[in-house]
Amino acid sequence: MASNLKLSQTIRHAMLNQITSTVGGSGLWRIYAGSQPAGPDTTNSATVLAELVCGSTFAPAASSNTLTLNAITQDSSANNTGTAAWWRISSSGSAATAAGHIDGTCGTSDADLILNSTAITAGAVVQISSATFTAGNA
Amino acid sequence: MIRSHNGPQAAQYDGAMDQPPQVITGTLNVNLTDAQLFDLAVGLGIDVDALIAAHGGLDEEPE
Repeated sequence: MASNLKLSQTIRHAMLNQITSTVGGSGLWRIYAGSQPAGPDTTNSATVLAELVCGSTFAPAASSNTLTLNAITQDSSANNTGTAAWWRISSSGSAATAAGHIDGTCGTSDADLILNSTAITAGAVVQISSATFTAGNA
Repeated sequence: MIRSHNGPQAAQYDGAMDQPPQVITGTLNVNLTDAQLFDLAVGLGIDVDALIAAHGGLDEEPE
């Protein structure tokens, strides 16, 4: 029979809150050009286009099956010019090439992180205005 | 009476004003299924079995 895994809201919240604990304070949210690696456990040599800083607390406790990140500090001057393809959230102090915690795609539609443009120019302001992780089949 | 302006002339626009910086804005709204959340938790190194046990176990499938 096909999987029909169902978690209680308590477990969903615990898992979502564990993201906050694992990333820690002032995590780094980098946007890269090039191919997305297999996963956040792998290192990478991609070009960093922008580097934003998550809140001193990543997010308040999950509520209604949703983890809503605290305000993210913008990158007021993008590192390089290129096409944003994927992103990685890592702990504070992590090198851009190091493994991280969460990876996702970038795009103007049908992507995890929706940008108004994926064409980033060095010196541009790059900001993430809101970010949520929702436990979808609640 | 017509008055003439004898002060310094205003600076001429030379067409080379700085462009405002490009602004890229993003939003993330990830919708995780329980299975994806489970995988994410494993990827984060969470002891999922212990976590589930500590919170009362998985929902039972109805007979």
